[in-house]
Amino acid sequence: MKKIILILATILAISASADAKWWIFGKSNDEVGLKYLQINKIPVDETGAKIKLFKETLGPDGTLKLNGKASVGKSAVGSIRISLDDKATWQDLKFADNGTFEYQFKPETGKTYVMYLEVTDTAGKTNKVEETRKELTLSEENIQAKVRETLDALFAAYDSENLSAFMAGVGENFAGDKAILERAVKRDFDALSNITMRYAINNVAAGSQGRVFVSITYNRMVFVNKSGASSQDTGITEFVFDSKEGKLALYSMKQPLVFGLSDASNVATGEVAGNTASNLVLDETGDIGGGMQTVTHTCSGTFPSYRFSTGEKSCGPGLDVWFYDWTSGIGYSSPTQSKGFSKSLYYLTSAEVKDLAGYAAAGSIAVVTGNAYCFHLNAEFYCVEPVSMPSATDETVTFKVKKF
Amino acid sequence: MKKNAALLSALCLVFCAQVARAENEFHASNELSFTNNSVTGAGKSASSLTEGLNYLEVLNLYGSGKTARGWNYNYTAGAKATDDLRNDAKKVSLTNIQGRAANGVHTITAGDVFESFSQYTLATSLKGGSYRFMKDGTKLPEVTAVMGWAYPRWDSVWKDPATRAVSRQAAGLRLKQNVNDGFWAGLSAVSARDTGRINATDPLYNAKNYALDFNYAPMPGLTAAGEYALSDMDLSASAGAARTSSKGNAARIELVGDADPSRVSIEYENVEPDFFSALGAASPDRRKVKTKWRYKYTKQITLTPGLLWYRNNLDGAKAAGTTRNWKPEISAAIKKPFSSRPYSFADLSYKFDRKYGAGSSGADHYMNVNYRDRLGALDSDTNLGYTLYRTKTAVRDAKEVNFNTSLNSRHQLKAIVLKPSVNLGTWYSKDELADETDKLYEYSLGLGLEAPDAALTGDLRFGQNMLRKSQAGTDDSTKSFAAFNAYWRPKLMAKLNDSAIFLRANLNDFSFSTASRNFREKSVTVGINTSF
Repeated sequence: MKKIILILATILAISASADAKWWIFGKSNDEVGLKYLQINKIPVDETGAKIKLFKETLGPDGTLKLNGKASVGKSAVGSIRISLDDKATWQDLKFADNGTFEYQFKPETGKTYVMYLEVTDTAGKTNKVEETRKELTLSEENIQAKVRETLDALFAAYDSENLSAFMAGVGENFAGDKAILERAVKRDFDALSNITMRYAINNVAAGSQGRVFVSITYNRMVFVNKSGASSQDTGITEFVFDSKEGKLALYSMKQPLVFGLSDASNVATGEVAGNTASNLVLDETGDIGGGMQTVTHTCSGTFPSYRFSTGEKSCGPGLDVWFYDWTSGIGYSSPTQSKGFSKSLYYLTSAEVKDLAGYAAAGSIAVVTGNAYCFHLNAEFYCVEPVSMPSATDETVTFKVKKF
Repeated sequence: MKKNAALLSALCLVFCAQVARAENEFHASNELSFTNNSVTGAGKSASSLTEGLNYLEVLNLYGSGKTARGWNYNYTAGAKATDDLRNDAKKVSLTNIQGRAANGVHTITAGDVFESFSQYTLATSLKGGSYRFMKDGTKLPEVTAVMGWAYPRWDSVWKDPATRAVSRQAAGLRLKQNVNDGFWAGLSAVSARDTGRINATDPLYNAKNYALDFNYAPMPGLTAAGEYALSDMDLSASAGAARTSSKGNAARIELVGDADPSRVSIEYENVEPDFFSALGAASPDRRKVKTKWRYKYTKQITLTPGLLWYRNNLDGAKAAGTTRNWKPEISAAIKKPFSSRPYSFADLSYKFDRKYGAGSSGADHYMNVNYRDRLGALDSDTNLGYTLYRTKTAVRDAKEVNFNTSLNSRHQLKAIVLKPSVNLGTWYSKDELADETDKLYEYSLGLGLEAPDAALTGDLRFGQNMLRKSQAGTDDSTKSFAAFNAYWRPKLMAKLNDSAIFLRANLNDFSFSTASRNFREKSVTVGINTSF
């Protein structure tokens, strides 16, 4: 109890010395002002001083709509005026008896409109006009260019492990929770180094409420600090961005995640439809799993073998697959089936791997280094890409492996 | 020039010029780039670059107009072509296509349709169509209907073998009513049905979500918003799994008081484990309370304390038990901490993570100090962080220190601006359990250049990242890198809305204690982007 009293007393003492009183949230009902103001249905409280709009987020008529309500306490509204040229000229607005008003205009691309609103009651008292200042711009950029700029900034901040720069691109109302994402990304940075990520946009859709949907194909390479090893993965994922102050801010991410791998279940809100590929995950200890792993295994006097589900290595047959030393091939036993692709594991899509056409229970498959070979066993799909095969003189195999 | 890229570029030039004459407004942008990558060294298989010469062509169109009957319309379309399979599994693909028409009351959209209903029901885009009725100045509700497929890309719609996905058909209806000036409420119903399983084990959902959401602003600066949603989901039988059904609910409410000097927010969220939203954004099995108070204590000092608490296992069904998280934090942003230094700025923060239950117990501390200042002609930005990870029992016991500092300056030599910069950083991690130490050192030097008269900008950066590990059997590594970017906007192209010719060159050299892992990447990209 003493502690609580002490904390309260300290807070009160600090508050007393403050410039402003923390408990004052609202304004007096008698003040002349704006009860609310929306620009294209977005409350201006959520926008900030500069509002950049994109053609794709305006209505088909290309107009920008303002609607609001003047508040004058017990008095009545005398006039409402708007200026779009930094107070050089003013235009009277029509308003209803209760103070509601609407205004719309068609902004020119690239031009900045410095907007003020002035409310005057019948006694001649006006609102604080300076507080209504907004800079409105209709961007010359298309929304896809803005998406690329935003994604470039997020990926660059993540690659350079700059937490504050990365979080600057995340919205306050991030659906998975911004605080959880921040901790998860911090843990990512402590676990990984030399992060290299690239992406290409698959799909962009601008929608209502200024939100933008983005689907990307990404590929990344990371070094794991704990083991010193590198790991890679690729996939398709989705983001939703909010449009605020001319910037796009991250609103939600789906699995597979590209950011916040250390707490994927809390950071992601949903999963890309049909995503079942194994993608990178970081556990509590900083170890990495999923994605594409490179495995090197050496035996003596017999060929190396490997179990997909556990990563177990052995020498001689018995595990899921084995790498022959007398011929360039991979052996496996029934009921496992295999299918070969004439391209790298990197380029395989989940759909291709899971297409059962072409899988055969032949017992062995001839391989070429650099190509991918997939195995269907226990209702799971695993693919390997041999980097180097064993020989009679050197029973060492190096291969990449990925679960789909 | 590769065929697909040339075709898209030519399409842009011919089609765009034709349409531009016919429409009220038309814009197009196009970017064509060629990249040559080479990877050498025994460990080259670790590289994520595609070797050889590849192209990437991105085209976007936008147009708008008005019909004689008073309907306004606009459309957007975009396409991409590449022969680098790491950029895309498809050589040519449609990136976006949308058409909208509205007459002031009715709005019809087709193609990429992104109607945000509410967080728990519909917060993703569909390939399909939507209709909206909204008549301003009346008491009639706003009505939105949407129908389509939730594919991540257009190629999935036409079942391309490389990009096909489970087909998720979606339909939704939303009514939104302004009750009075500061209060609106919305009712949403959304259905998602999966078909077209690719793999025998693919989950197929048949889910319905219903939600009531609202926003209430009783006075300037104070807002209450919330949502209550129900889900009814069937998961069809698949290989190795029987059919299951579940019903759940989710609720969230947020109160925000925002007017100087304070912004106070309080959030509560409860998402049941069985709540399922195929098209919304939700983290199932989470009860969360979050508060944040941003307080401008003085004109120079802003304090932001906050608390986040959440737990899982809301139905008590997890055999491992419940995990609870406490995440209090406080930060202080101080302008001019030293009154004699007008550009000084300090940001201090402390964050604490407490996680316990389900056989685990962790207490992590994050402390960070950031200081920015202008020292003569130099802008400096310095960051010092300390993290203590403690996860019992014998899971993680480590302390980490990171330090970064950057110095930037700007010098004008006649018509040329030079921007030299230096970055230094180190990261130190001590694993108490393994008694091992990891150290990372990094530095880079940069030089930016702006020559407005020549319409040229560029920057050069090079440096090294060195990871040094004490643990036997693990590799030390060094990455040496150099990067050069240049953008040239000749006068002719400047008339085309900032169009530019660009060059990007990168060199990354990775060396390890195990020499067979060494490799070197070289990448050069040249491209041109135009827009009008």
